[in-house]
Amino acid sequence: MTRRALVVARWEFLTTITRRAYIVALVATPLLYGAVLGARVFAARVTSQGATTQAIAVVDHARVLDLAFASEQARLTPSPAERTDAEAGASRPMELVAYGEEPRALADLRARRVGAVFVIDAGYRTTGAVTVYETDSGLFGVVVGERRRARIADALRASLMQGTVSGDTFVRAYAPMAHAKSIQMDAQGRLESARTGLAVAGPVVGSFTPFLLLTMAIFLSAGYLQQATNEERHSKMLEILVSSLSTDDLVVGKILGLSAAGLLQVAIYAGLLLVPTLNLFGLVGVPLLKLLLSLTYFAIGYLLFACLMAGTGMLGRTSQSSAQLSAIWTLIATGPTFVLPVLIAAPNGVVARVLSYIPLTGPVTMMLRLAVTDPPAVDIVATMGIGLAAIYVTLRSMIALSRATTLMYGQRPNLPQLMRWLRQA
Amino acid sequence: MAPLPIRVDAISKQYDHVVALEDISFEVRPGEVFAVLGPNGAGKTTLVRTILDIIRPDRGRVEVFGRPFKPEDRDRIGYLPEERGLYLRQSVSEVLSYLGALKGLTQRDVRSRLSTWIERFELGSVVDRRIEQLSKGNQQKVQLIAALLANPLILILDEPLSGLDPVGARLVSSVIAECAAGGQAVLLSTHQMGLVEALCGRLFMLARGRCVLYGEVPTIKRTYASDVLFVQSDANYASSPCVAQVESVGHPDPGAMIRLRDGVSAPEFLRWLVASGATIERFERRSTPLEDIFVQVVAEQQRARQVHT
Repeated sequence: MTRRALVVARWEFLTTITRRAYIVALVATPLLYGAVLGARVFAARVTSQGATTQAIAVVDHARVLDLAFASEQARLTPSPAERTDAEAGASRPMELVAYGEEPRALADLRARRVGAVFVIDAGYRTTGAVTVYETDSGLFGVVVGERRRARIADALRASLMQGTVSGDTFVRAYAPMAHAKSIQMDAQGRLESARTGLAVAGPVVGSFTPFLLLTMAIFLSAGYLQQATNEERHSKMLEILVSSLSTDDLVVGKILGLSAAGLLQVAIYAGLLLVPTLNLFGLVGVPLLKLLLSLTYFAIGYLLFACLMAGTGMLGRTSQSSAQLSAIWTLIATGPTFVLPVLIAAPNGVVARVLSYIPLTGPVTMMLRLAVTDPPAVDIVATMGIGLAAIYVTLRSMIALSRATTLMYGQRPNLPQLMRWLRQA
Repeated sequence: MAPLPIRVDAISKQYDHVVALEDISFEVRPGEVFAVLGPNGAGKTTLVRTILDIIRPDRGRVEVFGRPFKPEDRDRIGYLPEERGLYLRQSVSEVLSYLGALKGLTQRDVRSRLSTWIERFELGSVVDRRIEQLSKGNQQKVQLIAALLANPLILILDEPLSGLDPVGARLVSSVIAECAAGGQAVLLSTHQMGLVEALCGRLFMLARGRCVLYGEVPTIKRTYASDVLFVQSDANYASSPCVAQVESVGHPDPGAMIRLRDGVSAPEFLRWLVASGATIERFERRSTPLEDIFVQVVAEQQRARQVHT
């Protein structure tokens, strides 16, 4: 790379980041996402609180329930169901209200004064029959319904054991796993206390971050890269430029400058998102080697797609047609996410390894694998080599394409022409 | 002896089944304005791009400064292409600074040269405006400055007067003449024959990728000179045995365009005129305008092609 390539890179970077469209997108995108996220969190919280704090009507024909005793046990030894209620943000656990007859309980259900009606059959002790009446709460009602059932089950368990067992035996029988301790064995066979909650989420989120950034960067930079090359082709500047510097320097400079503009946008968003959550997710807990490997794959993936986007911009007759063509690359880049469950379930399986060895899906797949496992060293070395080779071949092809398309204003090359140029590259 | 700025030696180029250039040879000397002429689609743009190493010829060779093209030669060639454009959203000074930097100039050099050319082309009032706010003529001047900024040894200008008013055209013509006078080799591709006649010492004409005319402009004009005379006198031309055809003209100078009979020379007719006792105010041989030569050569080529096919 020569000084001229850096001159081009500087120009492309500065002209892009001072564009009105870039600045508007930079400011508007986080505001829009923030508004959508805020609305979603608010709605979820309101819905959750409403569902979990609404009382449950109990019509106990079997007379097995001692609601006062059950409530006291729930306070002393919270079962998993009660702990879930607390974590869901409910200000108080679901209250159980005794009703003498079903019609009144059902009337209150219709009036939404209670969330559900549980009718315990007179022969419950022998049949176990319970009838549950609930309003249709859609998909999310299933979770709340499960919590109500767990709450009633806890109350029935406490009431049935009352007077039968006592002391520690009662406590163990009521919440047998309340004090369970988890030990985790690592890849080297060492034992350590299992991490839970945020301690687990931190490194995983940290490992996923480069993957998320890459897909975001590809989406954001794609527009700049294909738009800038397409505009330049149609503004007829290319011929002036290639009379002043080599096509190699021009293409490399453009890719560097426009990629830097896209990465600046990603870096700002990443800063906005990650800095406030660094302590929360414990990103410092991400193994350094994995982080470095992920960032290397990020660089390989980004450069590969940047070359492809720039080339696509040169091929299209208009910005719109280039955008349509470039959608192919963004689709392929995010392709591995369509088989995400398979990759997470078997990160070193056949699907994961095949996708890793394909240049276009390799970087994203490897970042996903690094997030959930330790891929074999041979995969890491081979996929990096394939990625670097793919960048070189793509860059040479883009340079040949740029040279050829300089002479073809307003025309799109046909397939035989395209193949001839690429062979010449 | 200093190497020739441009030497094109028997180059040929073919696109698929279309012959763009066939066995083209010429040279451009230092300090001359050399015209490349030809009808649309003749191969002029391909020829210029081949000189600039944007296109590689299938056969033959192009030498710049006495050797094959080298990357550093780009800094010594100023180019105004036929298909031209500018970055419309940036200011005049920003665009020219960028293009100057691409030619290897430092920011300091760019600033000092820019102020000279901006003043010369009378663009001082628009230097900080965005290109899209400029008139077509001023945009053309900016593009010319871009070609001239690095003080190149070779200038390749494709239709440099396009979009300019007569004042701007005269200014640009004088700048081109000064560049040649300063030792720069100027290759001029244009359809404006007046400009060629005013500035160019030699020309090269292409038709369908082949050379159809090459040489000194005065020699070519003599070769294609007609036997038409322009005469201002009170003689009765119709009574002359030398005259085949008379056409009166009133503008700009009133007189007669006279075509002589075959075998009669201009001195013979002049002798008859003197002998007739007429008062003669003007007697001159009318040279054929370059434009007519161009049209004639192109028409001959088309006829030859039709016969061939």
